[in-house]
Amino acid sequence: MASTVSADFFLQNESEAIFRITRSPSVIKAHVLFLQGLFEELNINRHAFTQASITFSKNQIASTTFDYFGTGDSQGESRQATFKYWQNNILSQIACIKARGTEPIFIVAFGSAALLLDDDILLKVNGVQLWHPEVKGARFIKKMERLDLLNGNAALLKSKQYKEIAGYQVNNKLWSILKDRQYQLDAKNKSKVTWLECIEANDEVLSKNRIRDCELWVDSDKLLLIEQQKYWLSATLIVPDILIGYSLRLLLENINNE
Amino acid sequence: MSELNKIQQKLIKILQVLMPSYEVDFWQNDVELFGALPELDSMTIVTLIGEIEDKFDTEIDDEDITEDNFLTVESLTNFLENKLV
Repeated sequence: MASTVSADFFLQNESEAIFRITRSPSVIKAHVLFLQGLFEELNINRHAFTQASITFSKNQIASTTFDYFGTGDSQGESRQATFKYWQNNILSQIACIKARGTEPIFIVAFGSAALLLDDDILLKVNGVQLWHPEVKGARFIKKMERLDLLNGNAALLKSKQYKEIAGYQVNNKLWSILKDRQYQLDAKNKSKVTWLECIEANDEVLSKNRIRDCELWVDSDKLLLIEQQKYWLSATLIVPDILIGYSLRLLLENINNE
Repeated sequence: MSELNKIQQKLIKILQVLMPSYEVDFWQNDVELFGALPELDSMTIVTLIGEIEDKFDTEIDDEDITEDNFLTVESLTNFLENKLV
């Protein structure tokens, strides 16, 4: 089935042109908004969302992916970005998709993108899939800070106005909000959110850390353990076909239930 | 199997996931890690540390992220043994 791919700048307001790519099949029965992980996490998952977008499109599911304000090809400097800006980026894309049609909207978020989600966003979509979510901001920030320690840039972490992490200049306020962030799930939205966790073929159970992370989902059908190599860890590019297959099946089930 | 061997096997499994282009037999005691493998850039080392923390249910202090501890498979195994046992 043919699909159209368009890349454009979405004007959130006069100073915020957000770069996005939309893939639209000729018949659309749902729309997925992909949320990439933050900072360096973007690079380890980009190919997975591209492949997912192609697969979804063959099943009449349109999709949009975009660069957060101040990152990638979107307007602005990363040091100007705030937590609210990035949440507004998501809300604006949802509003834009809603304005174009009445199809259900689903979010597929990778890694640290889960930290941006809140009840306001969840209320506006029909469902959310979390792919290996990072739910603890402090752990994510520690990872990024270690990156700079290893790169010998520790002094930059002490700058008063912003930090420089892996080439991104990030204002201290955003850093601090992310660090304090813990993904919280309101009971009324619980049924909307599915956690997709990849486990290696020989791993029988989740690590204790991950069990603690997803304690709200354990013992529910909203936690899916998928035997899929952890592609984002690998220095070699791996397309997570099994994860994408599960994700698609889940979307199709959700669409049928709408 | 000794505790040291168990730790090393678990560590090698993590290294295999991170760098699947190397055969299982490649990961011997004397294989140099820090600065020796092109795939092991700073992002991969951060990922390795995260996976070690996850799989061994432990926390690694920033002060322990040293060239000495991460020099070879053996030195990293010994560091983990000292930390965990």
